[in-house]
Amino acid sequence: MSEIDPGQGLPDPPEGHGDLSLEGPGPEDLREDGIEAPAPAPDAALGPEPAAPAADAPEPALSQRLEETLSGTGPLALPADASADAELDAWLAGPAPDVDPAELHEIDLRLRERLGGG
Amino acid sequence: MLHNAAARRDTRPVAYGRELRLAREAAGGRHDAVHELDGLCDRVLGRAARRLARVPADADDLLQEAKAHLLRPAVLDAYEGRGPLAGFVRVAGMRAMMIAERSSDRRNWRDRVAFGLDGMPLGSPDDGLAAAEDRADPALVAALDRLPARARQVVVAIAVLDLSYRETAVALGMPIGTVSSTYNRALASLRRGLAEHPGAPEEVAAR
Repeated sequence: MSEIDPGQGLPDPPEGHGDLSLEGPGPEDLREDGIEAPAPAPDAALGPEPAAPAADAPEPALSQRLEETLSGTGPLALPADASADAELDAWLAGPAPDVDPAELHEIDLRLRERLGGG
Repeated sequence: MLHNAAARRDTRPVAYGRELRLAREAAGGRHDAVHELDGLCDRVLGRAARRLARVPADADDLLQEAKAHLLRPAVLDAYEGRGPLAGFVRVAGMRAMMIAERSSDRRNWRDRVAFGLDGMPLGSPDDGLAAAEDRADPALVAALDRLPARARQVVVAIAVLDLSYRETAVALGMPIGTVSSTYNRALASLRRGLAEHPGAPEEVAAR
């Protein structure tokens, strides 16, 4: 599948929806999942409040170990699905609906609310 | 997409020690830890499984199969305790559901008891979907089902699991630009389904 220039549209969602870390969104996200926890503890059932990150903690980065696990031939290697990729390429190559970026943003918010249960 | 991994090596402290212990204990086969993780998977992934599958029974199969992939020591060992365990489950779980969806020999979990490590029975297959209260309306679900499979997966990853574009790209094995293009196109395609929601306070698509 070829990479396609996103062109106009929504920018990458503001970090905090899921943050940059592959190891997880913040406590607010967990509460949206119905996991009750006093901030910033992510899950009362999972234990005490975690230690607060150092004030000078580096910007959250992708977990290298998880990234490696999801790439290559590891335990979560993704089987190829050429037909699904071709279907997507054909769909993206079709005429794009004319929707204003601001409207896309509102649709995005509404979709997250409806599907995500937030 | 992944070539800068070494340069971005995660130097955050292990701030989620309790969750790291839980993952390690589950990887080691401790039953109560496996059960706790099983419940977390239900809460985090149940709704996404419902949206990826077209019928509830298939969603149940998908969720159980994904958990069979996810709750393995080789996978749990990838959790380092630098972020919430639920976040790890979202990303790795999305990948696990993709693997399950593409598996030609997908097992039918409706007709069997799910077993975890050491043959220990996990929760009933219905537990996950019971936890995933489904409030999506039929018009929106129908619009979602009309999307190409890969586009539906992108929507689920972003709108249901709340993954960033980058996390979605890694979880789905797609270039991040394609994730962005696909999500924007999907939003445009779904606006009618959103507008048809009976409880919609505003008709976005009518503008």
